[in-house]
Amino acid sequence: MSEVFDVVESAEGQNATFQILHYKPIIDKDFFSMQRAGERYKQVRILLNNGSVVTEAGALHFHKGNITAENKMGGTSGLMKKFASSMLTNESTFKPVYSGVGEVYLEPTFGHFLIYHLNNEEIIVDKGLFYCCESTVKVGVAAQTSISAAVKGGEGLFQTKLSGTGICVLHSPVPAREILKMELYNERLQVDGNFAILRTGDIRFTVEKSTKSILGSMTSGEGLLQTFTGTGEVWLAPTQALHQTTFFPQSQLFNNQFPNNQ
Amino acid sequence: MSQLFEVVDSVKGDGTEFQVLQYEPLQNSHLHVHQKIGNRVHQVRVLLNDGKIISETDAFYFLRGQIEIDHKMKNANLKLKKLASSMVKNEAMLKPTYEGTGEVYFKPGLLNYIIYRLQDEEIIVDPNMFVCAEATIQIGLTQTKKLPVAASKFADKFIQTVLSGSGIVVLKSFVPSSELLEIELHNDRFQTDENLVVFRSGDIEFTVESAAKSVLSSFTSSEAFLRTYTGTGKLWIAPTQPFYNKKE
Repeated sequence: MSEVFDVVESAEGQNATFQILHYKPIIDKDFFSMQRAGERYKQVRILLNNGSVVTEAGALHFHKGNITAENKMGGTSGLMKKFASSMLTNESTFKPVYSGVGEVYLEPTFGHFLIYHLNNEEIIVDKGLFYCCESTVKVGVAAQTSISAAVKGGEGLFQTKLSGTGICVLHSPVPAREILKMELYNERLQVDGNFAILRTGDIRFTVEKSTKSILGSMTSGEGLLQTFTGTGEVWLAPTQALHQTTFFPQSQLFNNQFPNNQ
Repeated sequence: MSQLFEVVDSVKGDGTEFQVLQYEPLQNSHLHVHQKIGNRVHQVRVLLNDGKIISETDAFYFLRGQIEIDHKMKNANLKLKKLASSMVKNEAMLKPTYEGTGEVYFKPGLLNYIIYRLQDEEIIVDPNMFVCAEATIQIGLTQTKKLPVAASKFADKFIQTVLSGSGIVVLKSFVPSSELLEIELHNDRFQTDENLVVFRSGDIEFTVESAAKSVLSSFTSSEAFLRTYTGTGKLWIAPTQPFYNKKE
């Protein structure tokens, strides 16, 4: 029997190794055109060696070995905090922690994954992007620091903040190779849409009008721009809209009329 | 990690560099067939070095650097003029300008882009072809005046974009540029009953004529009127465009 899947990416942490598995094309006509285009059924596997990982609730598919799962409640105040942050970030209230020795397989999907090594730093990602991480990474909430970003940013009031040192796996709206990593050195990046998915470093997120005058912003078509200022890295998914259009009206594709998310 | 896109065309201007980026095939079942037959997702990027460009409304995608987006609005009179002309064309005519130093990216699509350098001349293109240009380029509208009665109710279809001056313009093409046919006219005439001519330059007069002399014969022949181009200059014909339009 040949292998069911291949390990296409692997990241070794201190006590846990994160792997992304690609399944061989599944023989099912519903998935034929996707797989012909190169898309694959994917799964995250974590090899634990006396380590522990945190995952999004409901992400577990199966695990093998001497692994215990626990949900840290954190007392009443911890519970309230968890409820609040889960409401704010669209993520599960309780993120189970798996520890021990063995293999953890998470739910397979046709979505895309990104592996990010945190090295005593902090990243802020879009809501719902978090999938799993080493337990040394702290999963928290980042409130928008500017009113403009909170009200008009299109990303909601809160985003997910991952900090510390360790490996995390994120959902990605586009294949990992289609991510455009923009390094900023005391620079400014302005984006018309919601396709900035991650930022790290000393970067301030605000929303600015594209033109100064009222008439200008009324007529320019581009009203508000997500603005990132500072030094660090911003990850863009410029092809996101091309993937999102599930029923592809040809005219949309050819006229670059994107669905406006804002 | 391999590059997501490569620069396939690049023209340098005064403080500007216009580039056409070609994306590697994207892993997507909807795009797969298009990419398999050779179509690619393209994107226009402009590198500004203390330069200034103007773009079509809604074309902007993202930018980095110190670039101000603004509109040319010098006085109220001009403003009204622009609003009036935008009504004619059914879209905002107040086109944004980008000034400063950095990179401007426009929206990607399964389209083809042509970079064209104007040297103190005037070109007339289809209204949806304009993407961006150096700010030295004047953008206007033209409407053919002499329309036969039969064609007058389609007057909207005869409005086109005029680009004039010196500088670089980027045009969008719905057909690959290899499928564009260039025709040179030397005091000659070119007639077509379909909207095939996407570009013209030089001293060419555009009129719409009835196909046949008498009302009765134009009624009976399937071609009601002909687009007629007379003079000396250059035309770009997109003979395959109807097939691409049909897909929409």
